[in-house]
Amino acid sequence: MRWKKPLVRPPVVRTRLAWRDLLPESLNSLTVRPGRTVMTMLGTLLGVGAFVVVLGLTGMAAAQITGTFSVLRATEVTVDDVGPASLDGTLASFPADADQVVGSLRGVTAAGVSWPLPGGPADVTTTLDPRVMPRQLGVYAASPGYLEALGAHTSSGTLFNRFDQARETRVAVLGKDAAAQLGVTSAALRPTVFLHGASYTVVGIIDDVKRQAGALSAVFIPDTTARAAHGQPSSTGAAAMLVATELGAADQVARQLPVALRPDRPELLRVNPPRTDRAVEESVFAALNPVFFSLSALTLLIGGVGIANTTLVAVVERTGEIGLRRALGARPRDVYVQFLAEAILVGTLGGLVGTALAVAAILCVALLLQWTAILDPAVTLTAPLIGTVTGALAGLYPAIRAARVPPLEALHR
Amino acid sequence: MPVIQTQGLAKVHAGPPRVRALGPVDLTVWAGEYLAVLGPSGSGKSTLLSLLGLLDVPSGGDYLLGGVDTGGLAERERTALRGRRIGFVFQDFQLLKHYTASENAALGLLYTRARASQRLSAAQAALDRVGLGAKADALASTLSGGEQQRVAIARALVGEPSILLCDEPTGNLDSATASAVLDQIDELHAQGVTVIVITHDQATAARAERRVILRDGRLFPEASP
Repeated sequence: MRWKKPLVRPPVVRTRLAWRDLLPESLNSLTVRPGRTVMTMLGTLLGVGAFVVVLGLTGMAAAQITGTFSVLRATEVTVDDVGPASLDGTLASFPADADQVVGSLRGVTAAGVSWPLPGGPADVTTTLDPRVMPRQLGVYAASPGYLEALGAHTSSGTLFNRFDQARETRVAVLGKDAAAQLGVTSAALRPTVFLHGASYTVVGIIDDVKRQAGALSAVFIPDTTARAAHGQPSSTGAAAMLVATELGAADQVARQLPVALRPDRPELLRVNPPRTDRAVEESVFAALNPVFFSLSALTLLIGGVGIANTTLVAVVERTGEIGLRRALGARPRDVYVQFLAEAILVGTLGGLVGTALAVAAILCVALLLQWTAILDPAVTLTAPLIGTVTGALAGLYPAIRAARVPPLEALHR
Repeated sequence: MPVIQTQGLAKVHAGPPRVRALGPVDLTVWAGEYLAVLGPSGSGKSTLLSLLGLLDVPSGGDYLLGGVDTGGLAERERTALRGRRIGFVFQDFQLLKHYTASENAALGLLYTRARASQRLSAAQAALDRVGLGAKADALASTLSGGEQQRVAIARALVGEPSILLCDEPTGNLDSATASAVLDQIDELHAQGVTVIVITHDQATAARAERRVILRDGRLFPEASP
């Protein structure tokens, strides 16, 4: 006889894993397999550690670089001629005695004017023999004060001076790269270079400058000589003044310069004050960070894939356990949450340990190189969260797989 | 009062090939009864256990568990019914090796929202009940086979289920240990627990009040040929 099914379904008290039990249960699952947990953690540890180290080291390097250059930067002002060109195209807003006027300002250590000769890079040779190919070099007119403001150092001979300027002598000073191109190794025998068919005696070779490294591949002739032979600066090759100041005087000098040089029309000159530390730091970060961020992101990705793989293997290995938990009343959601929590814990632990090791590494580097250790609290405090997020993302798929294990697997262990 | 009633209960694996693993099976188990289901390998014992234990979904037939019609229940309701009403004892114990005996026994209550302290005291009581109270803090991996099976019984009992479902409970034990475990099950039955043992072993089945035989997926009274 067929029995009658009840019409009313008796209530069934639901089962679920309480939130307060989730953390202890997940921690327990991790601590009973310490080797596996450590190996799983390693990927995130390296990724987060690399991230913190990269930020820390670039920060320190930027500070170190800016610290090294800040003295030079803080003592350099440039002035551009932005006045209107005359009818013949010349541009001569700087007065003839600009070096002396600016040199008399308090805080200025050297100042001078320079401009490129018209026509761009010129053919320069050491002989008039037509069979010898000339070299294309940048030739500049410069006052003696300009070479002084450059902080030029000669390996051979001397720089031209006010005497050469006053007498419009046909002398030249070569940057070491320009000298190498021309095959000039020494100024001791006063070699000659030819420029537009005119000869110039080489009086010195510059082997180092404190500012404007491009000067090492240029040829300099006195400004008065250049005016006599090639005319005034033009709108296509305007004059600019380089001013070296004492430390801390640059801003004050920058304010005084236009009026000191052209009290009648200061607007003809544009003063460029020293760049700030912040700007240089930002430029260093901009150059370094994309590269290192990409590397640490790649490491994090590898770490995430590592967590995903190991967790997936753990799901397969723990199929019997999952089946048992399901048989004992765990809902698919409980299994999902537990496996996700385990992955998140592994990621967070990796993030914490990685951050701690990275901080230690940064301190060691700072100690070894005698640098100032710089740790951004925002980075140090949030870095472990990157591990958490990595763990969560990496644990999603394995957790879904775990939740799909049927309770029947308890019988098939 | 029946705690289990099945009518036409069947399981067919869709395949291919299509295989009828069980049924149709009509079975009634009364509260406090000790039933043994005997059968050779491949007779459908494990399939019957998985259906009675709500570990799997039948292909056909009706199943009332403690008066609840299990047909059409949502997965979470089946899970709840399984967790609250049925205690499982598996052939290979299914203990978590790195957990202590107490933690293993308490696992049966993990999903009931009981507090940890309540779970552990209930686990201790269950271990005392199977005579393993002194080994509550021992790791499962350090226990003998018989002790592990007693921990598994304690885990099955800890939630006070109405049915104890045993799958070859002595299959992995030597005869002396097997006898001790069966004594334990006898004792629980004497205390009023409904016991269903699924086994191929005559000696194990001999302890039951009633025996049925499963052959080619069909259930027969013991006396049938």
